[in-house]
Amino acid sequence: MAGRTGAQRPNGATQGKICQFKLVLLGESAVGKSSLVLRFVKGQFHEYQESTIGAAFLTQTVCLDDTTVKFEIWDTAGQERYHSLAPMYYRGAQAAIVVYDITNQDTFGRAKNWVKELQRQASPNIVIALAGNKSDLAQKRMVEYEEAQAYAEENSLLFMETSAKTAMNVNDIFLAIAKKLPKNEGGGPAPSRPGGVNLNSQQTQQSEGGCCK
Amino acid sequence: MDEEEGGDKMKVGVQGTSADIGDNNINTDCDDPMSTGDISVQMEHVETLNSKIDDNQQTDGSGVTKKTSAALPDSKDSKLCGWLHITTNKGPLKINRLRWFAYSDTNSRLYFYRNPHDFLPLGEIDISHATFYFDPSKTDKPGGFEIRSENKDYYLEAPDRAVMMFWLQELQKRRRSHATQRNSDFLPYKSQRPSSIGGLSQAKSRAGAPDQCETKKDNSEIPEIPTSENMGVRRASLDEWRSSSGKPSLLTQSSLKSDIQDVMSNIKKQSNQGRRSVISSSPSPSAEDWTLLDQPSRQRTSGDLSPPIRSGKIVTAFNKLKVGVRRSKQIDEPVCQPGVCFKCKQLQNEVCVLQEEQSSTEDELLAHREIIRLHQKEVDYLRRELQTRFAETEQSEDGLHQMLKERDKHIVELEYCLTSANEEKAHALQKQRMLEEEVKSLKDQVTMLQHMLQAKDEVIVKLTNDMYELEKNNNDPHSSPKPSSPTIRKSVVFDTDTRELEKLRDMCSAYELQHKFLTKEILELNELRQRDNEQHKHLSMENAKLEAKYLQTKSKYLYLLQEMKQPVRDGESSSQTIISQLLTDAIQSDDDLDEQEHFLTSSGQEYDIYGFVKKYDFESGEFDPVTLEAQKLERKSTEMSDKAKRQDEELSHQVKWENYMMAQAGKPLVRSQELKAMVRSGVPHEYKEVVWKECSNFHIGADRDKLGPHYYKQLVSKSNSSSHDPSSKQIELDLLRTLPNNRHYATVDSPGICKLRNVLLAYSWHNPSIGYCQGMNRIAAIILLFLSEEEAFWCLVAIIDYIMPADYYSKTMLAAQADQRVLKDLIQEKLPRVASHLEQYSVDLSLFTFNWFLTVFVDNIPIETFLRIWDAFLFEGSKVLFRFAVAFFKYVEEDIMRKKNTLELNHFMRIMGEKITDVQRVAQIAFHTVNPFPMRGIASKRQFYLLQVKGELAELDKIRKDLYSKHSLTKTHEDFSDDDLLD
Ligand SMILES: Nc1nc2c(ncn2[C@@H]2O[C@H](COP(=O)(O)OP(=O)(O)OP(=O)(O)O)[C@@H](O)[C@H]2O)c(=O)[nH]1
Ligand SMILES: [Mg+2]
Repeated sequence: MAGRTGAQRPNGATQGKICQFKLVLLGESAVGKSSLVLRFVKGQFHEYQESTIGAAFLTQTVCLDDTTVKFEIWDTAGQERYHSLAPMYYRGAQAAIVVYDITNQDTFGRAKNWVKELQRQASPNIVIALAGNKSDLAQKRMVEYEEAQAYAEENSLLFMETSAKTAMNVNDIFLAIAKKLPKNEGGGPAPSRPGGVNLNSQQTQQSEGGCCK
Repeated sequence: MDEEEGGDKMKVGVQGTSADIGDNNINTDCDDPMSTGDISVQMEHVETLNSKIDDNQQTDGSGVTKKTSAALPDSKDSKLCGWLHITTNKGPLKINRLRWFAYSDTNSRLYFYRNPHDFLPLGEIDISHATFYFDPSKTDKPGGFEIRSENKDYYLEAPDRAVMMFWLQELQKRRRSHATQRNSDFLPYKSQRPSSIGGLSQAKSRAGAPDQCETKKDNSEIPEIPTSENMGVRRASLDEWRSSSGKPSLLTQSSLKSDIQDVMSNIKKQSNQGRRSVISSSPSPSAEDWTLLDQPSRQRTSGDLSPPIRSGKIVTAFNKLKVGVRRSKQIDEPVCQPGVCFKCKQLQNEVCVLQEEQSSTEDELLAHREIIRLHQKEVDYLRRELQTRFAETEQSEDGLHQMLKERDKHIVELEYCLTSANEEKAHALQKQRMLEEEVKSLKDQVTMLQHMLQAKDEVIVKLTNDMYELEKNNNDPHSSPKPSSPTIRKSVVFDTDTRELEKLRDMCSAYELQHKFLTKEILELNELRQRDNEQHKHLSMENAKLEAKYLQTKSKYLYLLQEMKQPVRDGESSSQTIISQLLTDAIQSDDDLDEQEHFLTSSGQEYDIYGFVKKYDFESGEFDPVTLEAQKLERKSTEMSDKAKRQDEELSHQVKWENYMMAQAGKPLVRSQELKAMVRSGVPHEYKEVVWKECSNFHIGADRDKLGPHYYKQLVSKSNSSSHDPSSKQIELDLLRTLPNNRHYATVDSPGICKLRNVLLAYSWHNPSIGYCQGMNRIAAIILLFLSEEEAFWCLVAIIDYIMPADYYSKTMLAAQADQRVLKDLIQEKLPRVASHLEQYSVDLSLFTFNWFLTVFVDNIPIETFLRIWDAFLFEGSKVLFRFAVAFFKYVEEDIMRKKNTLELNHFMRIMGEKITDVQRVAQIAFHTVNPFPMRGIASKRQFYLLQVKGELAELDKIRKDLYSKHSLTKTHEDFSDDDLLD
């Protein structure tokens, strides 16, 4: 909607720095996580998107003023039994989008649980965005905008209602995350597996990763 | 289509129409002492023959040849096989052996084996370019025939002529249908979208099934040779096909036709002698005589024709006649006492008849000669035409070289065939001359006989007088038999003559059959030639087009090079625009090529045989349209060349399976090493259903019987009645998200969706502790492509409950996670380079391989590749998953080593599955390169990591419980823990 598709500019074409961030999508099954990613990465929408098993990995680059931000996106599976795998994916992520379906109250409840888990288990500085997807189905709305907005403010989350179908707010939410991410010092590469994320160690790792140069 | 041989419909027809000629002929086939080899197999053969003959008789009965289409071997289930003798020339030695022959429809080859259960054929004969011939003069080998193929002669021998004719006709038919198929494979705009597959629609797809109308047309042009000798009908059918085949090459056909008609009507007159109506209208006095003679015996003959007449299909009208004559003699002997004069008269009559016979035979011979002369003309014409064709062909271009060679070979074969036919004709002529002489000598004999008869008559008159006087003197009854003795002697002499005549007639009819066969052979060959010509023309057109395109591209290319060579001075923009113009052109012309390919190989269709949308533009991280296009082209070309390369290999593999399944004949598969090797090299499409079914039965074993035959139906009805199944919500969400780009699962009303729902719901009721796990949907959907709904359910049960370790799809997915760690260890062991490279860039391969294991590789992997894995997986078990996972990494090892950063590596891992296109290569790696691959090691590793993962999960679960209970603000808390709790 904002008319700004993820710019595809080759590495190094811009004068600014390049940052690389790991972003994870979480949320109940069929809320539209994969659809959001597909819209963001390829600008497409499929009526029937293959359900995600395990997780899917995609990348997309956006340009922000003088910075190029590379997103390393992990789109996870929504079914509950896959939740035991989730830590593998959100470990070391600098950003997360927790998605719910505005036509389904249950998915909002599940989203809240994810927010809690992320705040507790993921990197301390993780940027979390809440996306109320399928906003094109406003006539079937079950989760009020205000309710979600209030919850997001309370937990200092980014919040937008999106629609992968109409592309509304899809790029915007990714851009908003990109803006909020610390670009001068943070945004290093996914700082490897062992243990949780230690912010202090990030600065020393800067050189080996391909982040802001 | 009504092309099933010996179908129910046909049997009814036989009962109705052919009671008189009936099955007797066939019975004699079995009893024939000539028949060789295994009796039971022989019987099988005769059965096919039986239905074949029935088929023909039905045709005869209606007098129209429309039924011939029934014999098209389009129905693949009619397998042509049987025992035959084959004579091979080993130097001066001729070795005659009994072999099992089986015709393979796939490549139109006749394979022969030592026995029917053998896997490897002893040899093969290419039927697609073969010509057939048999020589009726070889009476010692009535079933002998020749197949000439690829410049080699094969002498085969069937137990008798009937079987031989059956073989020949079947082979002709199959050669024709093969040619049709070959033709239709290439004919333009023939979209060959196969109807469907396996469980989704019962109709088996057969790529390249010939167009229906076309087939019909073909058949009307070349009819079967009626094997039973009902002359009238044969003439009718002959007329029909004569008039229906409007071939320009048959210039002489109308005159030929009338000639044949003449001959036929001659014959017909005789064969119909039993019918008064015909005779009364016939001007021939001899016919009148015949009726007189035949009157008493007629009722008899028609009454008990049932005893076996004579073997073979040549149940000629002559034969009937012969029986009649023989019978009349038998009857006459005891009855002869009342009037000796009558006897004489009768004899005289017989002689007259004989004379008549002779003259008619003479006529016949003349007609034959005429026919042969005409044939020669025709053959000459054909040869001329062939020669001109040949000259034409020579002018063709370079690019057609390959094809030309083939065509040349074919033409030479044709020529050879024609000359041999010619020789045959000369031979026949000679025979006829001989026959003529024989007839002449016979005539002499008859005059001699007449003289003798006269003399005897006188004697008889004298004797009668004597007898009369004697009788008058004393009433002694014993004196009467006396004069009968010379009569008997005479009849003996007469008998040998008739036998001679019969033999000659037999010969005649045999030659007639041969003549007809050769005529048909010529027609067939002609047609084949025409087809090839068409194909040739089409291909040259195609070639010209492609060449034009190529030249165009080349010119553009040169133009570009030229442009680039010139030092750019006067502004870069001009060459820049030219290049961009050329690039867009390249992409454009590529689209054209797509269309071209569409009707060139008809593989440009929307869906593959499994119903998947064909796609070539894989995700590759390339956004430049030109590079994308180039990649797409490269992929296409490798696919095409791979296909061409593997064709032979695949064919022999196919034949191997065909034989195995034929030998198996519905028995449960035995898990032998041999079968294992065959499964590892892939189960052909048409046998997947059987093999997969057998494999799942093997894994489930007796448990299935314990659950009863209605278990599945009960589960389905249970799941339909109660909608509150916790799994059903997720299943509904996933049905259309399972294989969205397969047409069987594309929309709500696609046939697969309903089956998929039933199978998944049934499973969730069958095993509530697992219920439904995302990933199972893909497994079930793939099974349903090949198996029926119920069998698919059992196969799913076999995979999840038996083949996969416990806890793979359960609420915690413990075993699935543990297996990823096992795999990591194995990669470390087998491919240390890759492992350390991934380690270096901190890429966790298990994030990508998890899906492979959970979905049995139905995850962005080419379908041919994962189907091969499935074959082995279902046969051998879950170890195969590790084999292939390791093989995948080995396959792309170099690609991985080239990637030098985390992002690139992660991205490559994501699309890695798509790269595994060479099934043969990856299977080779999985089953050989990675060896040794002991199951024990895997089992112990599984054990170890299972415990490890269990511990970690318990910890995570504790944290989560804490987390949610502390801030129990949300209402949805319950159902979350409910699903995720560890027991
Ligand atoms: N109307 C509407 N439908 C949407 C929208 N986004 C997704 N969908 C539909 O919702 C369904 C589920 O979308 P997915 O993207 O597969 O959901 P997911 O969250 O990835 O699901 P899992 O892979 O099972 O975790 C699909 O059929 C989409 O077509 C949206 O913005 N509007
Ligand atoms: Mg998804």
